[in-house]
Amino acid sequence: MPDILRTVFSVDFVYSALRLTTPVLFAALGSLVADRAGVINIGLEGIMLFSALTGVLGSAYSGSLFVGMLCALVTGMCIALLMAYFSLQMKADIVLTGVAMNLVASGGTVFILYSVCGDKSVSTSLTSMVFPTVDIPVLGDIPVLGDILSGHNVLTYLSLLAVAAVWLFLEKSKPGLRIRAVGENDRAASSVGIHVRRVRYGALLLSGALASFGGMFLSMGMLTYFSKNMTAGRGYIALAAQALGNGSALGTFLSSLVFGCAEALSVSLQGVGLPPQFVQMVPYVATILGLVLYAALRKKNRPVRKHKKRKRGSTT
Amino acid sequence: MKQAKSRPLPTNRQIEARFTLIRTLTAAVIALAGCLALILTVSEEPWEAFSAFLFGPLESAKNIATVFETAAPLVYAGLAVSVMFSCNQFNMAAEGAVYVGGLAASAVAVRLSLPVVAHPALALLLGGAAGALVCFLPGLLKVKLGATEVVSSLMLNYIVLYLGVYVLNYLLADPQAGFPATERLPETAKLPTLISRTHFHVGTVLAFALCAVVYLYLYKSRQGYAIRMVGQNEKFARYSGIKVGGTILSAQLAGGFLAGMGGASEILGSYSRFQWVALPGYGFDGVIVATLAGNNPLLVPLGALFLGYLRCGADIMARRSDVATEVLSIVQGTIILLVASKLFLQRIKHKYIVSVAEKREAQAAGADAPAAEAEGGAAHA
Amino acid sequence: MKKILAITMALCLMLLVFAGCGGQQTDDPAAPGTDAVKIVLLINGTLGDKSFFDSAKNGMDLIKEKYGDKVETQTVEMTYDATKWTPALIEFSEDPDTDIIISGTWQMVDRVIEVAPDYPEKKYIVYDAEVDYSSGDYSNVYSITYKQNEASFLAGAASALVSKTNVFGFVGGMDNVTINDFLVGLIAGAQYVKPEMRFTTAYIGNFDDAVKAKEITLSQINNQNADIVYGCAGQAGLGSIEAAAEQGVYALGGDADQAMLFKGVDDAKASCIITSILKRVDNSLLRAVTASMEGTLEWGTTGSFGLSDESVGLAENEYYEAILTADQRAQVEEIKQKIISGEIEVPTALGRDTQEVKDYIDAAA
Repeated sequence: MPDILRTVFSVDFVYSALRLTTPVLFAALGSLVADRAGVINIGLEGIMLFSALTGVLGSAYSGSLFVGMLCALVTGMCIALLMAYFSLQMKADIVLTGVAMNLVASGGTVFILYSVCGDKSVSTSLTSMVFPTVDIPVLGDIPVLGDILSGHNVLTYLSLLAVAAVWLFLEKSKPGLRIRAVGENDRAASSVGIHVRRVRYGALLLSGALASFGGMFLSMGMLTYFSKNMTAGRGYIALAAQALGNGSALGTFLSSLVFGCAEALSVSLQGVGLPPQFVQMVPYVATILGLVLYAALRKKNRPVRKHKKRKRGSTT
Repeated sequence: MKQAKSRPLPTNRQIEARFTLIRTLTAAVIALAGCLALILTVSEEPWEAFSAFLFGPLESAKNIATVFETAAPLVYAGLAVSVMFSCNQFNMAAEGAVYVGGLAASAVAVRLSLPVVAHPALALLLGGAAGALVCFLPGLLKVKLGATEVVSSLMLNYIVLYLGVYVLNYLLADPQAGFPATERLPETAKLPTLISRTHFHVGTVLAFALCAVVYLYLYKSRQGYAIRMVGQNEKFARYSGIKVGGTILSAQLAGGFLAGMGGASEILGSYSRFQWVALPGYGFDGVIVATLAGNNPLLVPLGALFLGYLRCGADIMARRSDVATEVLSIVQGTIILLVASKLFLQRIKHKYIVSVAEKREAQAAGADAPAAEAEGGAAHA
Repeated sequence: MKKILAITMALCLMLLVFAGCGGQQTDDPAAPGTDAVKIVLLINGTLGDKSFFDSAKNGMDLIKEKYGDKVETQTVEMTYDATKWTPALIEFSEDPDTDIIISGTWQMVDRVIEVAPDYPEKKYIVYDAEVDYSSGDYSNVYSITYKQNEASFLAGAASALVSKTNVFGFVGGMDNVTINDFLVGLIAGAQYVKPEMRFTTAYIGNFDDAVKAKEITLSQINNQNADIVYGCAGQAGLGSIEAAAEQGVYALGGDADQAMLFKGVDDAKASCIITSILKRVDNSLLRAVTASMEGTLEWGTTGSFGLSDESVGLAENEYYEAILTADQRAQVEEIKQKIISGEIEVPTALGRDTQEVKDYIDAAA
C-alpha cells in the first residue's frame, strides 16, 4: 500500500493526471458554453472523434500541422453547425441530434479512414503531424513544480488558457452576457431584442471548436495517429464534468481535473491486487458520486428546491 | 393550443398520421440517396452494392426471417426507450439494462435446474428485474436529487459493463471453454427456435406481442396516462394531482424491465452461451427505434423492422461487394436527424392542412375552421 | 394530395430504376468456372486488426497465389455484431458454389457446429478454436488450434535477455483467459531465463482506448521501472509501442510483425520492437487447404500447431537481429528447440480456473 501512496504523490502521477485531463477539459468547456446558452451538447464524443481523424488526415496530406489543425477545427464546427441547424432550425430534440451525430461519427470515421488508408482501425500508414511539447524556461527549473508543470504538450497549456478565455468570454464579454441571458431565460432575452437562435448557433459553434481541440489532443498530441473509437467515452465524461462544474469555467476545470486524477488513479491502481474490472470502473464511479454529491449540495443550498423535494418525496 | 391538440378532430389525426408516415419515408429516402452517393464515390460496383443493400433482405424466406430476428432485440430496446422517453426522461441506461438482463438470465440458466417452461420464464423475469434495477438508478438520482439522467445513465452503463465482466470472469466462467463465456446453456432454459436454420425463436414472437401490451399500458392504463402527462408537461401534471416522482420512477422501472428482458431473450434464443464482454449496443439502437416510432409502442415494430431491414441489407452488401458496413451508421444518423426534426416538411403539411380546412369551410359554413387554424398555428409555434 | 402522390410515384420509379440496374449487374460476375473450388473466409469482425483476421486474409491470398484459377476465394467481413454471424454462415452454406467455409476464433465454434451437420456436403475449417468432436457428428469440420503460449514463452525469454531492470510491463485489453494465456507464457519464459524477472500487469478494459494503453505503459516505465513492455490489446496495443518508443525502452509486438508495420513510416517505433509474437493463421490455412486439395486432410479432427510447424513463432527480422546479440539469439533458438523436443513444458491459462491463473500472475508481480 505505501507503494501506491508513493505513486499517487509522485510527480509522474500529477503529470499523467494533467495529460488525461486535457481532452476532457476541452470538451467540458465546449459543453459549458453550450450549456450556458441552454443547449445540452451530447454530440461532443462525435465531434472529438471526427476532429481527431480529420486533423490527422489534414496534416498528413498537407505536411503542415497548421493545416491539420484547421481541418480539425473546421470539422468540429461543421458538425456543431449541423447539430445547430437540426435542433434550432428544424426543432429536432437536441439530445437525439447529439445521439445521431455520435452514431454517424462512430461509423463514419471508420468509413473515411478505410476509404483513405484502406485500413479500418488505425492511421499508422500515414505520417501525420503532432503538436509539440513545450519546456517553460524559468518555471521548468523549479524542482517539483517545474517537473509537474513544464514539458507538457502545447495543447495542454492551451486548454488551461482556454479556461481563462472561456471565463472571460462568458462573464465579461458582451456575447458571453447574451449567451447567459439566453440560457437563463430565452423569452426574457428575446423580449429585450436578443436574437435567441443566433446566439445559440454561436454557442454551439464555439462548443464544437473547443471540443475539436480535445479530439486533436488525442490523435496529434497524446498519440501520433488516429485509432478507431479512440475517444472511448471521453465526450460523455466531459458532459459529466461540466454538469459538476456549477456552470463556471473554473468549476468545470476543477471537476475535469478530478476526472483526470480518477483516470490516472485507475492507471496506478492496477497491480495492487484489486480485480482489474473494479479499477476500470473508478472514473465512472467517481463521476456518479460527484453528480450525486453536487446535486445533494445544490439542493441543500436552495430552500425552495428543498420544499419541492419534500413534495416530490411524498409522492414516491 | 394544447387543448386543441389533446382532442383533435379525427380528420386532423388522420392528417397527422399520414404526414408522420410521409415524413419518415422521405427521411429514409433522403438518407438512402445520401448513402447511394457515398457508395458511388467509394465503390467500383456501386449498383450491385446498392441493390444488394436494398433488395438483399427480400431475396429468400430465410433472409426475411433474419430481418425479423435482427429486429427482435431492437423491438425490446425500442419499447424500453419509448416508455422512458414518453416520460421525457432521456435515460440511456437501456444499454446497460440489456447487458445485465442477458447476464442474469444466463446465470439462472446455468445455475438452476428447472423444468422446460419454468426455466426460461424465470430467466426472462429475472433478466427483466435486473434491467429494471439498472434503469431505476438514474431515475432515482433524478427524482431525489435532480441529477441529470442523461449523464448518470451514460456513466452507469460503463459501471454495469465492468461489474458484469467481473461476474462473468470470476463467478460464471467455464474454464473449459477456452474463452470468456459461461457454460453452455442447458436445453431446458433455451427459447425454442420456430423456423429451422434461423434464430427466429419464441422470444422474437414475444417481442412483437409485447408491443400490444406496452401500448395498453401506455395508452389505456391510468399509470400510462400519468407517464405521458408528465412527459408532455411536468408542471401541468403536478398541478392536476399526478405524483410526478413516482410516475417517473415507474416508467424507468418498466422501461428497464423491457430492456432486461430483451437481453435475456436474445441470449436464451440466439446464443449457446453468454459471452458478451462489451456493451451490445442495443440501448442506442432503442433510441433510434423509439424516435422512428415517435415513442408509440404500436409503431415500434415498424421502426425495428425498418432498422433490421437496413442492417441485413448492409450485411448482404458487405458480403457481396466492396462497400464497408460502416456506411450504415451514416444512414441511421441521417434518418434520426430528419425524423426527429419537427419542422421537416412542416410547410407542406401546413399548406395541406389549410387547404383541407378551406374545403371543409366551404362545405359546412366554417364550423371546423377554428380548430384547423389552431392546428396550423401549433405547427408553426 | 396530388403533389404527394406525384412524389411517391417518382420515388417508386427511382427505386425501380435502382432495382433494374442492380438486377442486371448481379447476374454478371458469375464464377469463372464451376469446377474451381470456392473457398470463403468469414471474418467475425473487420479487417485491419493487424492481427489474426488480417493474417487469415493473407492466408487466402497465399491460397489464391498457389492454386490460381483452380480456386475461387472470397473474404467476407461479418462485422462485430454477433447476431449477424449465423445468418452469414447459413447463407454461404446454402450457396451451391461454395465448397469450403473458413472461419475463426472461439466465438464462431458454437455457430459452426450448429450449422455444419445440416450441410454435410460442405467443408468447414475453424481456426484458433477447438471443436468438441464428442458432442456430435462433425465429420466435415476441421479445427486448428495454436500453441500461442509457446511463442509467448520464447518472447518472454527474449525479453528477459534484453531487460536490464528485470521488470516487464504487460497491458492487456481485457482480463480474460485468451489474453492471460499470452501472459502466462511470457512469465514462464522470462523466469526460465531469469527467475528474478517481475511482471507488472494492467488491463485497459476494452480494445479501443489506445490513449489509456499508452498512459498505463508510461506509468509502468516511469513508476515501476519496466524496460520492456507489451500491449496485448488489439489495436489499442499500439499505444504501448508508442510509449516505449518515446521513453526509449523496448517493446514486444503482437500477432503480426509490427516492426514491419512501422518500418519506413516511423523508424523510432520500428526499432524499439525487439520481436513480435506471431500467430501464423495464414500458414496454417494454406497448409489445411493444400492438404484438402490433395485429399490428405483429416476432416473431423483438430490440428494443434505450435513452434514445430511454424504456426506460431517470433518475428526474426532485422531489428531482432540488431537488438539481440548473436549469443542471445542462440539462447532463444536453444529454448525453441527444447520446447519442440518437449524438454520444456509451457504452462497455459486455457482450461484453468480464473482465480488459479490470477494467483500465478500475481506471484510474478
